[in-house]
Amino acid sequence: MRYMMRAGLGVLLVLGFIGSALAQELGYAEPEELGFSKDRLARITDTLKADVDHHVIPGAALIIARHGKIAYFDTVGWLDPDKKIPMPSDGIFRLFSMSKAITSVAAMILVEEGKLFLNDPIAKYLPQFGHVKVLSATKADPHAVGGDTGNPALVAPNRPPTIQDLLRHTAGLTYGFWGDPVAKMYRDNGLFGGDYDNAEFVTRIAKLPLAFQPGTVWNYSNGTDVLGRVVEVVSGKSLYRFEKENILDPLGMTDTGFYVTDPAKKIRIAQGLDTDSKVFGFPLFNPTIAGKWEAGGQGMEGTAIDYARFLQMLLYGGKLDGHRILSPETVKLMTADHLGKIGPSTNLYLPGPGTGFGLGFAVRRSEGVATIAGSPGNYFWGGAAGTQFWNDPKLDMLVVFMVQAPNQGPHYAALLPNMVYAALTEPEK
Amino acid sequence: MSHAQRGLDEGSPEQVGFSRDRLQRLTDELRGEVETGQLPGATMLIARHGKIAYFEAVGYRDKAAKSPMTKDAIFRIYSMSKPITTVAAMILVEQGKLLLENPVAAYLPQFAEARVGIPRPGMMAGMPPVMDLIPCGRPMTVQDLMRHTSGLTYGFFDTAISKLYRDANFFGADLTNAEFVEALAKLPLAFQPGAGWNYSHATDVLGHVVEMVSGKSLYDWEQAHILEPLGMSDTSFCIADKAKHGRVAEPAPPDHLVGGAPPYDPRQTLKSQMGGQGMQSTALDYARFLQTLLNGGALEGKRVLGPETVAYMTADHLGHDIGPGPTWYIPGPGYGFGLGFAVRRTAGEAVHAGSVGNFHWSGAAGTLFWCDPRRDFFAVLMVQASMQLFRLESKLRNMVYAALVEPEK
Repeated sequence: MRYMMRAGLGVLLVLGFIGSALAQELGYAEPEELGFSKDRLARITDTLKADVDHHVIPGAALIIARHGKIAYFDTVGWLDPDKKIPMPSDGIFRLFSMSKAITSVAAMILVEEGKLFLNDPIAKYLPQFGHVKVLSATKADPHAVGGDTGNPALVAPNRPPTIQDLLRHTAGLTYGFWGDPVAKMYRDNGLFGGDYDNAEFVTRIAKLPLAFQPGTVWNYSNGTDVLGRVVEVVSGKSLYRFEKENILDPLGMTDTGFYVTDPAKKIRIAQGLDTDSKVFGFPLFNPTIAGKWEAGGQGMEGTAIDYARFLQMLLYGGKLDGHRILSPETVKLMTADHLGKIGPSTNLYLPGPGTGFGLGFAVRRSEGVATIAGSPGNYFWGGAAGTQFWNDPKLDMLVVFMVQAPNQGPHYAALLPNMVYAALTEPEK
Repeated sequence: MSHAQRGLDEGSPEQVGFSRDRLQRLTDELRGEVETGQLPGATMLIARHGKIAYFEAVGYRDKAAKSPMTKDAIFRIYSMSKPITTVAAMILVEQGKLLLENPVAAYLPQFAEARVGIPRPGMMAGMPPVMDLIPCGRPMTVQDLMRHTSGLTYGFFDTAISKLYRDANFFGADLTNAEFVEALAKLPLAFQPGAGWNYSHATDVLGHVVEMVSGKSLYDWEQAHILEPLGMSDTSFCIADKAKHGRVAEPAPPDHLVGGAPPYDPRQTLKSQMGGQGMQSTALDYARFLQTLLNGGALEGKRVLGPETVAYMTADHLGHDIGPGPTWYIPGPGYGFGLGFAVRRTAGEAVHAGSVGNFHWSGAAGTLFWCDPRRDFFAVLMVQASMQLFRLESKLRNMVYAALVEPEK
C-alpha cells in the first residue's frame, strides 16, 4: 500500500477507470510477493535521496516491475531544482536515445506487415543512399584502402547498408560527437542547421560518406533517425502519427511524444541541475518548442510509467492490455544478439563487455564478463540525459529509471542493476 | 523454494545421495596418506542440500606433539581468504558504493600512474632487469582485481617482474594494507590490464579497496558483514583468543614449508590483514561460508548477498577474449574464472570429475574447496601440507563424485 500511495493519485485513477483487465497489467503488488526484499529496495531509495542531497541528480523516478506487477515505484528530489518543484510520479523526461527502442518497434511493425524487410538496402526506400560512399581512411575500417595516414578516399561500399544495419548500428553511419573523420563532417557540414524534417535530414546525411564499411563494425549512430524516415516512407505517415496509432495509443502511453505542447503537460517537464544540464555541450533542449524534426533516435519525451508500459508490452511478447503490437517471435528476433562476430568500431562500444546488440537494444550475451549483475538475454538502453531501462526476460522483470542528469548516465547504468539484483532475494518466485 | 532459511545440519550420506561405503573409501585414502607420511592430518566436510553427509578428522593436528586431529582444528587457509574478501567487496557493490567497471585508481589513487613493465630483450645474465615502462591501454578495474586480469602478479613466478615482487618481500613483511598498496603500486605491472589471467596480489589490493570504501579495516568489515552473521567464529586474520591457540594445525616434515619458508604463526598479533592470503579458519566455519553461497547468499535467514549477485560472481568472467596470462594458468583446462573463484566451463576437458558451473579455489598450504550448484553440494578439505595440493585436488574430486551415487536425490 505504501508504494501505491507514493505512485501518485493520477496513476491510480487511470488504472481504476480503465478497468479490471488493465489493473492486472502493471498494477501493484507487495515487493515480497514478487521476490524482492523491501529493506533492500529501500537502500535504493536511500542512495537516490543521498544523491539528490549531494546535488548529483536533481530528482528521479524509478519503476521496478516483475511478473506484470509493480514492486517499486518511487520518486525522489525535484522536477525543477531551480523552482523547487518536487518530483511527481508523472514527470516528463527527455528520453533521447530511449526513443530508439520505440522507433525500432515501429519499423518491426512494418516488417510484420510484410511492407519492410531487414535485408532490404536502405536505398530501396531512401534513394538518397543509392550513391553513398565510404570514407576509406578511417582507422577502424578493416577494409581501408587509403591506409591510416593516407589521403582519405571515397570508395564504394562493399555491400549496401540495410534496414538491419540501421537497427543494429552497423550501417557505417556515425554520430557527430565521435572522433572519426566522418563525425567531424557531421559536425561541420550543417547537418543539424535550421528547422528540418526527417526527409530533409536524410537528404543531408546521405550526402556525407559512411564512416565504416556496412556490416563490419558496431558504431553508435544517427541510424535510428534514418530508420524513422524509412518508417515514414513505407507507412505514408509521419513517424509520430505512425507511432501514435500503432504503439502509443494502444499502450496508453499518453505522455510520450516528440514535443510537449499541451499546457497541462508543460509544467510536468523535468529539468536538470545547472551544474549538469548539457548534452554534448548543448543545453537540454526545450521540448515545448515544437519543431519539424521527429527524430527517431533521440527526439521523444515520456514518463516512467509510459515507458514501463512499453517495456511490459515487450516482456509480454508484444502485447499489453489486449493490444497486440508485435508477435512474441518478432520480439525474440529483436532482442536476440544480431552482431555475432561483428565487433566494435574505434569509437566507444557503448553496450559494454559481455554484451552484443539486437534490433534496437543492447543484448547481454553471458552471465559474467559484463561489469554489472544481470541475466543473459537482458536487453537495455539509456538516453543521453541519464535515463536507463532494462528488461530481464529470464526473471520477467523490467526497470526504468528517469532522470535529467547527462553526466550521470554511466554511473546509474551500473549502480541500478547492482542494487536491483541485490534486492531480488527470491528470484525463483 | 527459497534456500535463504537453510542452515548446515547433521545428515546422513544416504539421505542426500551419497554411498556410505564409497565415502568410507575416502576416509581410508586420507588415513593411508597419513600413514605414509604424505599428510600430517586433515579434516574434510561434505554437505548436500544443507545437510552434512561427511565430516571426518584423520591423523595429527600437530604431529611433533603427537596430538590427534580434531574437527575444530584451525588451519591457515591462505588463498581461500580470497573468496571471503571478494564477497566483502560485492557487499559494497550491492550497496551501490563500489562499481566493478571503475578504475582501481578511483579508490586507490596510488595506481593512477600504473605502467606496464616490458623487460628489454638481450639482457645479460646476472644483470638487473632493464625495463621499458609503457602506459596502460586501459586502467585496471575493480573487476580486473576480482578475476585476476589486473596486470598484477605474484613474486613466486619466473619472470622479471615477479623478481621485483620477490625483492620487495611482500610475503615476509608485516604491512598494513595501505602500506602494502603503497609499495606494490610503485612496481610495474606484468602485463596490460585485461590482457590475460594471471594469479596475483590483486585480492590483497581489493582488500584495501574494501577498507577505503567502507571506512573500516578489512577484518572489521568482514566481521560485521560476513563472519559474525554466518557464525564463522573461528575465522580471522590472527587468533586473539588464547584458548584457541592449541587448536592450530601444523605441517610436518618433509612438507613443513609454504612457499619455501615456515608458515607464519597465526597466534601472533600482526598489522597485516591481507585479503588474498591472511586468514585462518576451520572446516565447519568455511563450510558455513560455502553453504551461504549455495543458498544464494543467505544462511539461516541471515542475508549476506542476493542470489543474483552470487550467480553473477560465480559466472565465468573471462569469456572468449581473455586467455591465460604470462604465467601458469592455475584454474586449469576446462575452467574460466569468475569474481573470486575458478568456474568450470565444460563437463569434459577438466582433469577431474565435476559439473558445469562448479566454482572452487584452494590455499597454498593445501586446503581446498569446491561448490557444485547443479548438484547442490560442496566439499572442503583442510590440511597443512603445501606440496600435496594439486595431487589431492584431483584425487578428492574423483572420489567424492564416485561416492555421489544418487545425484538426482
